[in-house]
Amino acid sequence: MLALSRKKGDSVIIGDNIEVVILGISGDQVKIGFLAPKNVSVHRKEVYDQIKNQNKESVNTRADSLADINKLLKNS
Amino acid sequence: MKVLSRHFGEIEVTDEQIIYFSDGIPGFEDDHKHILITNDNNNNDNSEDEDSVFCWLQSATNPEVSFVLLNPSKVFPDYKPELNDADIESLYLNEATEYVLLNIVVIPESTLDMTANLLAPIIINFDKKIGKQVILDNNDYTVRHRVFDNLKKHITTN
Repeated sequence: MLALSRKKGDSVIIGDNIEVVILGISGDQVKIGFLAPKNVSVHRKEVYDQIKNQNKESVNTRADSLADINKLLKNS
Repeated sequence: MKVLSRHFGEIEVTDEQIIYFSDGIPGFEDDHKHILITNDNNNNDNSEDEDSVFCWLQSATNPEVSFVLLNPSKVFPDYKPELNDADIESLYLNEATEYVLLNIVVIPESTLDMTANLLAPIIINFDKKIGKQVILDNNDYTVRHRVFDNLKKHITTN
């Protein structure tokens, strides 16, 4: 992994068209700005990981789960 | 062409039914071609109410990959997420586009605890036959939103 030291207001260029700007530093928090083409999506990694995990669990759904839901709806 | 599905065996589909996800779906980035399986094209005799709420998104190339999806329009009538410009552009959406927004569902062993991903809906543009799981900018929505109480409220009372 490449590690660079940057100050507030400094930035880093990734490739030709992605710029990462250090907007501010406060205690152990860093505020980062991203300038990237629209087709490059930027997300918090923990959110992306949650989505991945939820997707994997959805694929493991039993085939008869929908029938179970129907039964529960009818009996409740 | 024939698609081998996880839950419904072999399904005959036309090329027009294939929806192309250029980025795949997070966790399944290599699966680009999917089909929507609703109860119209399999022979389940489930009730009419359920038909319109749930469907499956089946990979056309990997039989093991099949997501459960929920159509939120009846279950979460107040859920009207706004897509960001980048997603609208990449999905070629405009006012005339025929598209659908669906949420991926997880149904655990305790069915009552089922959840839907309201933060990252699946958008399908039927005109272009393309789809994408987008991530909303709105932080009010969660990846695991409880479903059953709303399902009961809006589906059984109809």
